[in-house]
Amino acid sequence: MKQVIVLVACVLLAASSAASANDKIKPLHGSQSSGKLGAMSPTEIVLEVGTTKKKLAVNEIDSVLFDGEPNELAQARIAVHAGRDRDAVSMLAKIDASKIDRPEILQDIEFYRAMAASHLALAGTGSKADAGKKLFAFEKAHRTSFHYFEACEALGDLLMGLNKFAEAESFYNKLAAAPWPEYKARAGVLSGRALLGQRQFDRASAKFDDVLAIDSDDKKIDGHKLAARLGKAAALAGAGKADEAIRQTEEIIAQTDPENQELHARAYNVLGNCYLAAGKKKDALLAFLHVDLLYSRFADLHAEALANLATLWADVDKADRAEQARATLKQKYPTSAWAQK
Amino acid sequence: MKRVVGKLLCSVAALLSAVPLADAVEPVSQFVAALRQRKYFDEAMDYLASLERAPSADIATQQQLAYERAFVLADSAKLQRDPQARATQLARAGDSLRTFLAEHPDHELAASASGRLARLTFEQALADSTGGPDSSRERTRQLLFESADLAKASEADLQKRLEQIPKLVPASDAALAADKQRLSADLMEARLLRPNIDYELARTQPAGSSEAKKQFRSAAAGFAALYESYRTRSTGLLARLWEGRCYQEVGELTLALGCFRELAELPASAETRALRCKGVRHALECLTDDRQRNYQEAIEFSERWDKDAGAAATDPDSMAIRYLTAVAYDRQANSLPAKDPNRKKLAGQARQFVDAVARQPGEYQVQAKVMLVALAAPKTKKDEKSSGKSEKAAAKASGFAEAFEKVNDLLQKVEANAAQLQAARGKSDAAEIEKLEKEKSALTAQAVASLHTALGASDAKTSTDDLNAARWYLCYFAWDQGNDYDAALMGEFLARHYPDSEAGRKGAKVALAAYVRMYGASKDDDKSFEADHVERMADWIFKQWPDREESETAAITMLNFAIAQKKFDRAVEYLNKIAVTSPRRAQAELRAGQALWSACLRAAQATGDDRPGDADLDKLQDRAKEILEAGIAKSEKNEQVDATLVAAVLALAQIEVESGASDKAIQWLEKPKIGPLTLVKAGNPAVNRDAFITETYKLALRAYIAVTPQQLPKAEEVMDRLEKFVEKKGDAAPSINLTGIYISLGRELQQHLQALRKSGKNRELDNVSKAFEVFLDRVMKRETGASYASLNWVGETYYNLGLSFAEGGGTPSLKAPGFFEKSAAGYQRMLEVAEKEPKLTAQPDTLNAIRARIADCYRRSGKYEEAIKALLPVLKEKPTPVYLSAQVQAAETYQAEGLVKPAAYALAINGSQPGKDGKNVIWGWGKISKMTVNNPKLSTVFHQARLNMAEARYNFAMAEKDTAKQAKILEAAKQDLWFTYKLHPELGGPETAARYERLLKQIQKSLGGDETGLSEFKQRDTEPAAT
Repeated sequence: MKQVIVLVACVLLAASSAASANDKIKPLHGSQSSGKLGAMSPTEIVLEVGTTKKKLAVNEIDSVLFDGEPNELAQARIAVHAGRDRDAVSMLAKIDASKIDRPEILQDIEFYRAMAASHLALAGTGSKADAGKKLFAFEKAHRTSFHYFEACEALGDLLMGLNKFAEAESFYNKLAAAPWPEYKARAGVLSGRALLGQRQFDRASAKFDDVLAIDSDDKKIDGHKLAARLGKAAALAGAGKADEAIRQTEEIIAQTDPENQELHARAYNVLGNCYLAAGKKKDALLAFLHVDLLYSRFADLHAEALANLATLWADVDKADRAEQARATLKQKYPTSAWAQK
Repeated sequence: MKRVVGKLLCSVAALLSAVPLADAVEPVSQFVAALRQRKYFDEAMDYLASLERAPSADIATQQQLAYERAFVLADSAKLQRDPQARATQLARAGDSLRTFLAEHPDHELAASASGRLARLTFEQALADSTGGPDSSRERTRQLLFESADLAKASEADLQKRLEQIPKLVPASDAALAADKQRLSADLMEARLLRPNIDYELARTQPAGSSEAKKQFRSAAAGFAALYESYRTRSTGLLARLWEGRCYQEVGELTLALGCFRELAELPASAETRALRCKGVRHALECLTDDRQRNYQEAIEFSERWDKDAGAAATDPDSMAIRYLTAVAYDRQANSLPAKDPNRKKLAGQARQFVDAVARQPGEYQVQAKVMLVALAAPKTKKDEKSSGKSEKAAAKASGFAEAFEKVNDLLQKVEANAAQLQAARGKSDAAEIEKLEKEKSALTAQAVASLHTALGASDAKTSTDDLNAARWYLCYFAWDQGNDYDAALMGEFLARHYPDSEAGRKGAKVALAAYVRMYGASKDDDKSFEADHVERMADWIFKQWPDREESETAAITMLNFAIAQKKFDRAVEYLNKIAVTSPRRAQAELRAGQALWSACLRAAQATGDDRPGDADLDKLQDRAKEILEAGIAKSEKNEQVDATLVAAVLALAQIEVESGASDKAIQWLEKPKIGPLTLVKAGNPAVNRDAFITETYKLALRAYIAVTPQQLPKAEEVMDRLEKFVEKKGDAAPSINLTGIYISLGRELQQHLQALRKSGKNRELDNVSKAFEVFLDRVMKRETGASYASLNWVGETYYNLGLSFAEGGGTPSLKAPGFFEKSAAGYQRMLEVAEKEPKLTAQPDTLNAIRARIADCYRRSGKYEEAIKALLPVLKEKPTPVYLSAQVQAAETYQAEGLVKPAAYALAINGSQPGKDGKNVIWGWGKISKMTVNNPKLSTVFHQARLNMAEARYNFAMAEKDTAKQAKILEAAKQDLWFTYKLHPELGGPETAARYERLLKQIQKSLGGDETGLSEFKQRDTEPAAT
């Protein structure tokens, strides 16, 4: 359940007791349900509505609201979702955990603290060690949480940011254990990327092929398949077949909606690396420049593009632009691995 | 031209001496007026000076000279581009009038002279204030006050004189009637000047100050009174215009509009056109002013103007009207709700009007460009918000929206900055320009930063239109700042992904232009990256918008690009993508034709593999001619003649001359409306470029000489004009420039003859060279007018003729020596002229260079003694820059003589001509090699000397019949080479070493040994030294 979104809590509800709990779950499709949260697992949540026990699959849930949760938690959830992670950290810091007795709420607070820290670290502005500590602690302590898969994915991402590709792969493999095809597809793409990081191009390519072989009408899976095609192109480039990789990547770029921004950002970085492998520096520059100018909102991808531009601008006698790229990288993503290189 | 004008002056002088004294005044005025009208200012001044000196000139004429001179000076001042130079010239004109008034206060022209002096002082004040620092403001004011006093006095005087003439002049008294008419006109002008002075005085006050307003109101009252007095005349209407401008300056726009409306609605006629146009322009300025905002009326005004006479006009007022109309449409569009269908229509109209302004350099070009950028961007949330329909959406403004709001504010500031910058440039206000440029950079940097912030803050919910607006602005700013990679990328992104949008189409244009600029800026040998992107982008445009203006613009860009890459077939392909009916086709043809012709000339000059075959060159030339003819045929229908058209005609005339069709070239050059020579003679602004004028005269000279039958008087006239033009340009060293021009003319001729020789066109070669001989002989024989420069030309041209026959490929022609001899004679005369010219005698290097050239000519014509004689004065002087080369030349001369007189080989080696100290003045190869052996910079000369020394010995040996003696000399030659090898084993590099090797092998063979070449020396070098 990558995008579990929890609704803003009503302040009045804070006064309610657990006995008369009024927890709310909003599914992705259909109307919201209220009741008392029962058993929870990484794959399922039980909601007791009167005498009926409704079982809801985690991948079908849009958001969860805990009865009695502090207002700051609700605000922090929204902030994390909107990418305002610093705001989330501030909100969560205001919560006095000693006054909260419901373990589910405490668990949620812990989860969002870890997620916000992880996002900041990946954006190159927060401590990776701190984020890692928080995420590992959550993953270890709450293996039955409905946030479990989300935490595994975040851990994988964080480890990728630290260039610890094998460890990242192991967490993506945990994500792949989820029973839903969309999760499996996502995990396949992420694992493939982790294998690319380990320079295991054949294995990576096979992983991407697995994703491409998934038979499903789910449109989300279509997106992952595009990402898998891109991953295969990167694997080709890594295996020294730069020209074929370029051809395939350009094809993906041409066929994809330009507003599928993350995919384009990733594709242009792949393309830039392919061109670098082919010794075509100006083409590489143009590819990375796409990310800088058009898709800069994806921090890790932007940082990668900037790091490459810092060198490539100098190659075309534009030392000022090289310096500018270097300065932007250090200023915007000071803790990014790309800024450390 | 000197000769022609001289003749003209003589005939006028004769005419003057023949007419009775009483009638003498009028012809002088008329003649000077005619010269002024033709812009023959120097001739007019010369003529007046000649009258001043002429004892026979009558008193009336003498009295009038200062008066006439002032008019000549004042008119010539108008041609001065530099305001300060103009002010100085006007001051000189004013002084001349003051002299006239001081000497003849009661002259019948005195009152007119006063009025004229007031006007001159006024113009001087305007010129003085243009581009001057603030500190010059007080001086401007003083001049204006002086002008006002003069105008007032003149007005009173003219009034008084008019009052003395009866109100009803008898019809029989034509002279009195003419006097009255002249005085009335002068009075009207003096009256118009006074409020003009007030207006300019107001402008010297701080803008918006109460002093300025007071002065503008006073000027308005003056103009109003004048309008009342001369309501039906052009002076009155002009006063009305200025009255309106005064109101406009003080912000009384309703009053101003009253004046402008009246002018804008004058009955249509050719006479009122300019005034109507000005009326519309200023009315639009008022109506689009923020205080009026009467856009609808502005649009209606413009529609009437457009229908009436405005559509094709390109004068500054018409361009201003177009821009202001676009402003009216744009603001009208923005005042409508976001979803109003008329909004898009109005924006389209705005684009239509502003597009033409953005294309043409002028007062509003920069603002127009900025407006085009804004019009191309998709409408953003700001518009929605202002329409009040999307308050909910605005309330949810994301990070993107907030950042983008900031961009919109900045864009308005950028637009305002562009307008201010334009105004500052108009005033040549350097300090203000610098300030505004800095402001522009800062605003742009802020806007770009905000745009990046906006894009960085965008999310899946951000609308594509908003994103593309941000992307388009980034694209534009990148282009404006010269960040071509960014501009190309962003433009291409928009073009490829959003081809149906305005931003997509504009983006394509920018992308193509940016890739082309990247190609030009690239310092790499391999420019395939840039070239590929240029072609890919262009192909996309052609495919995407085959019938739209974008394709046409791209075709023009690609045409120039293909020409720059020397891909001429592609260039023609691109040209053909422009519709034959397109108004831009003619211009493209003119440019393409010229480019092809230039390429053809360059290709013809190339050597070796770089030179295309004759058939290919002919094909290229024919194609250039065909395209030029097509372009000219279309363009000559236009009323206006522009620089591109005339340049194309000149190129076509050049083709005709090079093809041997000088008669056709002359027809083109002399064409009444578009002929370059006709226009140059008339001083047409379209040809007002020094290089163009020079090229025209050069070509005309070649054509008149080469045509059958020759038109030598015209050739001489052109030559005179050319010389006069170069002198008149005011260059520091006109004779040097003229010499340069003549030398280049000689080279062109040489290239032409060589090309004819290479392609075997011997008959044409003979014809052209004979034609030039006739003319050159004529120039050389001229008693007067054969200047240093023209003799230089004669010498150079004969020299080049000689070279073209001697070295042009194939067997050297027997004609070559004759041409060299004539060249020597030309240079000899030039030397005689130079030796009498103090400026040149002070430059012995120049004289020595001429002598060296004479010697060269004699050597090439086989007159060795004369050659040595010519060189001796150079060699007897103290060492000069040409000293060493003259020594080499002398040795070469002896060496060449050796072919016919073997004893000269000894002189080539040992030198000759003992001086007073017993040492040879001419060194010979031996001493040359000694003098250069230790100087690495002269290593080439050293090896030249060593090689020639050995070669001279070898040749001398070969001429010797006694075999024993021959062997001895050959051994000596080998020894020369051996010593050289010992000194410098690398023998000056591979090329020279090969020459040594060749010669050594010849010697070895002649000695009956093996032709082992340098191996012999190498082996000898490794052997132990003999004990």
